[in-house]
Amino acid sequence: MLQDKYVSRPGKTCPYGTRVFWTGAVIVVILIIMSLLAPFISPADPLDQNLSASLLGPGAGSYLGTDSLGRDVFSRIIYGSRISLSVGITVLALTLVLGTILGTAAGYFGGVIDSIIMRVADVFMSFPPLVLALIAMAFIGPGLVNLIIILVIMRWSQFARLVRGQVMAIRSEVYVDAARVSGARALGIIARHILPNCMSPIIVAGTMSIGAIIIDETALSFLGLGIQAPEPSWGVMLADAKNYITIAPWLVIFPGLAVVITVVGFNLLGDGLGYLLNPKQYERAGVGRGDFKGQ
Amino acid sequence: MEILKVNNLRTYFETPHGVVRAVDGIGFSLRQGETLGIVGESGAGKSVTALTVMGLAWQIGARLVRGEVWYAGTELLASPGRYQGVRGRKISMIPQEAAASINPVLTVAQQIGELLKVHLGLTAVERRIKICELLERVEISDPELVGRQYPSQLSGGIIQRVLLAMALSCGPDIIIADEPASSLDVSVQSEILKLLDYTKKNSGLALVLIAHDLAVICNNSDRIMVMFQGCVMESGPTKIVLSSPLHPYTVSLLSLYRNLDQVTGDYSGLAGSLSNSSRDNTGCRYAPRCSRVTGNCLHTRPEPAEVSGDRVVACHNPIV
Amino acid sequence: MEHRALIQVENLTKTFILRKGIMQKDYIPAVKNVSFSLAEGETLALIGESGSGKTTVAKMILSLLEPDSGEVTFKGEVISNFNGTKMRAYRKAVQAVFQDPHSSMNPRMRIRDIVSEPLRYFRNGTDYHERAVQLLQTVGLSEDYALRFPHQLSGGQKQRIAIARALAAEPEVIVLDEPLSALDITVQSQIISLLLDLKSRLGVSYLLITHDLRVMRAVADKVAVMYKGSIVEMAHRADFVSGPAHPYSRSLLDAVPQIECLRKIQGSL
Repeated sequence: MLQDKYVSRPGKTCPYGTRVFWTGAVIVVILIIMSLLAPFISPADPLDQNLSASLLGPGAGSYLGTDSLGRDVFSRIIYGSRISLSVGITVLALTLVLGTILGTAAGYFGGVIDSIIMRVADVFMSFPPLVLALIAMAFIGPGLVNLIIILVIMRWSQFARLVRGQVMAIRSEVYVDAARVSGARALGIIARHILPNCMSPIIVAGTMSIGAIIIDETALSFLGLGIQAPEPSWGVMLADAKNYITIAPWLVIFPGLAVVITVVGFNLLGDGLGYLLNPKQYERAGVGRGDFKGQ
Repeated sequence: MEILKVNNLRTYFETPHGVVRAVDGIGFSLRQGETLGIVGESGAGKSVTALTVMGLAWQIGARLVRGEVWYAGTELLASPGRYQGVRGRKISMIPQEAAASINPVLTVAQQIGELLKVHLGLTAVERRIKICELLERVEISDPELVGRQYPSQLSGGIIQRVLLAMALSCGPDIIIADEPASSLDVSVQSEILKLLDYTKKNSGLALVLIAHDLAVICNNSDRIMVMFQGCVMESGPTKIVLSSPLHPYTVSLLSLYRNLDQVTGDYSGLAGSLSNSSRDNTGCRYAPRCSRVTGNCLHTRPEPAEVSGDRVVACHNPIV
Repeated sequence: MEHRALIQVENLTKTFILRKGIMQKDYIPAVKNVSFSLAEGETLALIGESGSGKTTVAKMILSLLEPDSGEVTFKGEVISNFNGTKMRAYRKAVQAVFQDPHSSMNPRMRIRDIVSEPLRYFRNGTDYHERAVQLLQTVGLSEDYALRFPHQLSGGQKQRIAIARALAAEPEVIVLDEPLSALDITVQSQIISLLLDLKSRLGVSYLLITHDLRVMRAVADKVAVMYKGSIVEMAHRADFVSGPAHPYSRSLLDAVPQIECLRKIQGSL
């Protein structure tokens, strides 16, 4: 085993992971700022219709063109980011909390509790997500809050399973036994030893799943199940755009690009976080450059 | 006859805390039929030396590798390609943690078979026969049964023997055994060491034996090399070095075995504290703990100097 | 000189069940009818190789495992009957140092928090940092280790910290499961001398589980040899070292001949 010895001067960390992380972080931060400052930076009201200026391409009048009702695409994209980000982060937070509580209970206590929770999770996982969404929608109707609820329902079981696996792995570590001998009991062990040690893969998975959540939201809104028109969700914009693809391709390209950039940003952030939290794993995989005798 | 020569080997790693000079100027030679024992505490760079000689330093994340490894007239470190057909075949290694070095999802026979297929191109039938032969050579009773087992079903001692069989599979000239006895029970330890010795004599190979326990090296090697923090302190014929050591570090290692029933002794010359790691390239590595330190020791690094009788010492103030 | 027996182990038995197939189960008898006692201030070395059951015995004494039959008594009371308060008192009195220093500590906790964790459960007061520093000094480590993380330390230092943690609760018994096997020879001697020093200063009893006969010779008062789940020999250390009765014990002692080679060479060094 290698140990740190004979340190002569401070050096640099391997740059690859940090580059990835900061690229993602920059993108995400820009998006967040953009969504927070939407009323100030958006050139027009996203709901403002101007039928005489409909279906104009990007150019003199507007940065990214206008849609079929003359609404400014750029403004709608900026406001749309609010929806995507807020839905993404809220759903992630709720899913993490729900998944962590249930996953920890299943992993730590095992036995009957584990079986019950996992079977319930299996049931939820076995529905194709959109079918699940459709069914849920049929019961509770569309709307932002319901959309969030549905997205949480779609994803919690995946996190519960992930947390459960982590907890089970850590539960058998020697330091958990040591904690028990030191007098700790279940809650203390979970809070102090188990959760802190399994959070990093969960955070990474969580960050990367924001991308998927945003895509789910876009898809549901596209199908008319999520955000309803005229709210400027990117999915709604894409739904509107599908009838005009040939004559006004910018209506598809720009919202699509927005989704892509957002998802890539979060994925890079998650990947970079993964590297920062576990640099050794990446080194082993050959990501850090070695020097085979000077070549 | 010399079959392996290593010159001025250096392997450096880059970490957030700076450059780690795991191996910093090691040189040794290995003659056919002899066992070279490399001894040192953990962190001395013994395993990294072994991996570098095998051309695997980059795989563990080394940032820089310098020096020469001469085998059969070729300098191996010059390019990665030169290790083709050498690593695993002519020079093989038994890595340190036996149980962790074996693939848990393949049976023993599959693992050995893979080596035979890749290096020797044997057919399935030929492999079957050879695998049994190899397992018998490492004194595994019932080789057929063991061949079908997965590592998780086998005890540490058997796994170690399997690793030895893998190392022997392609008829190597050199085997590097990294702490072969450490993770095992006492009775199994001595069996494995005897087996290594027997195999060496039978197959006419050369063995590099790495250990942190001086007693293991004393019994099982012809020549010894004492390492400390990446540098060679002393080397030479084992019995001679241990009966009249020249380097203060060797003396402090020996003092551990002086009197087992009373655990007294001078531990100041010894191991393991990371707090004095403000090591610069100048000066002898052992100087901060040396009882014989002189002014010179802190400024200039002692070069390994040849002393009579095939011995080498790197010390400004050796014991005479 | 009869000391009071602190821990008494009687007819302890534990069998593990391995599922081999859907219908098949393999019964692995890990511990078979083991009995011994540990008195105040005494060090008992439980010697055995892997598979002998010694770690399982340790886990049962530490109440990390339930025995299938037999009992562990502490000061006359059976520990499996302990309710919450009594179990807490038991845990305070019986601490442990585990085998692998690299995995017995939470990698995300600072040394100070690791060492002072027992204090949270067994002691009032919030002077964790000061108390942790005191404990570190007891095991020969300076204050600046308190804020470091385990991965920054060597194996020997980590084991010292494990010992400091065990001492935090001011226990009467410390169970040491192969405390030296993950360490270098050079570091082992330092830890042995620490253990001896603590023994004489604090009067603590050790249950030392090991396969390393050097440690046994240095530290133990009594020796019990385990083989495949049963105790095959029990003796005082001096008697054991000079001439063990059981053939298995003899084979264990014989398998450490390597030191002899060094001794022969050294002569009078």
